[in-house]
Amino acid sequence: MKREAFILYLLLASTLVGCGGDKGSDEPSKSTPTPPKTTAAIIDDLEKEGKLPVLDRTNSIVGVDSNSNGIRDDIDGYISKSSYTGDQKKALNQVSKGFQSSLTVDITDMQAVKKVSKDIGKGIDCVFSKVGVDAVDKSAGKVVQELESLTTNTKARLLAYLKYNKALDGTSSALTEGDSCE
Amino acid sequence: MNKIKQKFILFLLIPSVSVFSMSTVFAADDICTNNGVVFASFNGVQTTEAQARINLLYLKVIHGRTSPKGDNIQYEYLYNYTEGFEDFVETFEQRLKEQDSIVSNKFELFFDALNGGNGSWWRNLTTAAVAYKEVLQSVIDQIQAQKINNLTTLLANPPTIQNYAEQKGRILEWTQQGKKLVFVAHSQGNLFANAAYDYALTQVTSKSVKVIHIAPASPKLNGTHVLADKDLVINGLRVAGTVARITDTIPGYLVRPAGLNFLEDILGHGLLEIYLNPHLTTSTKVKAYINDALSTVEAPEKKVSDGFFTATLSWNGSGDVDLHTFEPSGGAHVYYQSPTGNSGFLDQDNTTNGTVDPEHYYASCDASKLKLGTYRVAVANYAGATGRTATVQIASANGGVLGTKNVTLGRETGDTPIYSLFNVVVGKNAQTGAYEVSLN
Repeated sequence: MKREAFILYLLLASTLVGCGGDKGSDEPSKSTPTPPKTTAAIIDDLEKEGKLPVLDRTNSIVGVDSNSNGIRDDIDGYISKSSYTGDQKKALNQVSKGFQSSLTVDITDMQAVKKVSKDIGKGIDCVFSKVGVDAVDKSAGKVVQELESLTTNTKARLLAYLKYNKALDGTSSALTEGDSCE
Repeated sequence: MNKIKQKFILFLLIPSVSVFSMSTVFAADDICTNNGVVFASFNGVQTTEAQARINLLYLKVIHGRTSPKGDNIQYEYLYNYTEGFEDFVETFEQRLKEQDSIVSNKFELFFDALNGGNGSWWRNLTTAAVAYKEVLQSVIDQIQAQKINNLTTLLANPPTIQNYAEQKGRILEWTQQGKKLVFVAHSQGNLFANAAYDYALTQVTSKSVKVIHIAPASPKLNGTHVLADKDLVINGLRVAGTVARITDTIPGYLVRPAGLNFLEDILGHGLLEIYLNPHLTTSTKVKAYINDALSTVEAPEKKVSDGFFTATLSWNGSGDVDLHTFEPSGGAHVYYQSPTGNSGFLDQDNTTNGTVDPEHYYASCDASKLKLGTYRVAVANYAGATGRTATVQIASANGGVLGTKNVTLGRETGDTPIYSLFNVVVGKNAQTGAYEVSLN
């Protein structure tokens, strides 16, 4: 579907919704039809309702980390506003910090790359131990993948992250024995 | 008597591979985990390293800490990146731009789209505006084509273990330590698992290494396999060539329950969404096959010991290369002439061929013996190995591989190790008191 056709599709869909009227009333609707929503307005609404994340899309790889805790401010906010417990949030912070460092690690330095991988790994293991896998709304696997996605929310960040992954091609890593939480 | 003569006499007196000490210390203050089975996973196509770890963590949840035979299980993943993964970023962006520039800068949607767009963000988008369903479908169509293309390319040029020094070194040490090996592979991981299996068989027999193939991208099988009929990625490969037979019929996408991670996969290929989905027969089979492998795999001969950390030296041919470990604070210099240190031991020396029975140092698991500080690990071309590639791997009992380095050997230097490869730091966590090891 081309962009023009897509916009027409949205307009048509919104118009049809506007024509639906109130099924419970016999009176003909006197209100003027709701103007169709643009895609920008739809996205804006989703962001306001917290159904899409509002993220730092600055040009730099690292983004804004005003308190220098190794986690981008927007991700910091995302975690702190979530309904996870204190211990769980600490685990989410640990893995987020690891993900963030993967964007800037020197990929020609394998020792450094492996160190980042170990830090992320310990963070993931910690999230699994604190969050668990049984709850639909709070599952360790889902939340870690969400943090991975939040970290790589611009093209430059995503490409940097994939380069880091490529550097790990052919490596071997172990799940942590014992407590991996910091 | 010069050193070469000393070594020559030693060579005549003892076998080409000398085992100096075979006792693994698991004392009262043992700080190592004693694992009998290695559960090694090989990830699927277009998987990040973090996702490979997540998949293995779910397998650990299913199979637990001990095998049906009572062995402790050591979980490791051998990561393989999909060539061209990064190219899909461009395709993804173009697809979104063609249709809707508003979301085209939202790269946080990328990984969710790769998994079929079942996360909350894509769900919210497609619910708010039905037209986004078509956007997502278009992206998924591209993903399917790209995955099939990635796998077809890999099949045409399968990986060899020779290109994967770290994984090769890891498998070599496991076989030497007498570990039972169970390889679990998904999707493209099957090609890598096959290469790993072939290499393992140069060290041990098939009784000591078992493979479970999940959604195999390769027609070559070295063990039991599970393949769903509605796996659209493998079905795509079937059009281009031979694939393994289908083992399970699964429900269509619209009536298929969500998987182990509460997500669905429209392509029918995901490990957690399909093959470990507790509502599908595939998961019952995968679990049974893995349990069977864990129950029947046999331990090979144990040649070297586990340690708090270990250093393993191999090289790619004949010659005599030596491993030298300098223990902390001016402590012992551990090598073939002096195999017993204050903290550790050189428990295997090799004087003829580095492709079998590597040189091996292990640091004691006994906290009363293990010295804190920096251990320097170095290598010498003692004789006859000029031009060979030597590989040294440092691994820890509780964390797997810390690092792997190759060096091309120059002239012979006898007992002088001129290649200093690793500084291994053993310390204690100030808060927990736990022993830690890292590279400096």
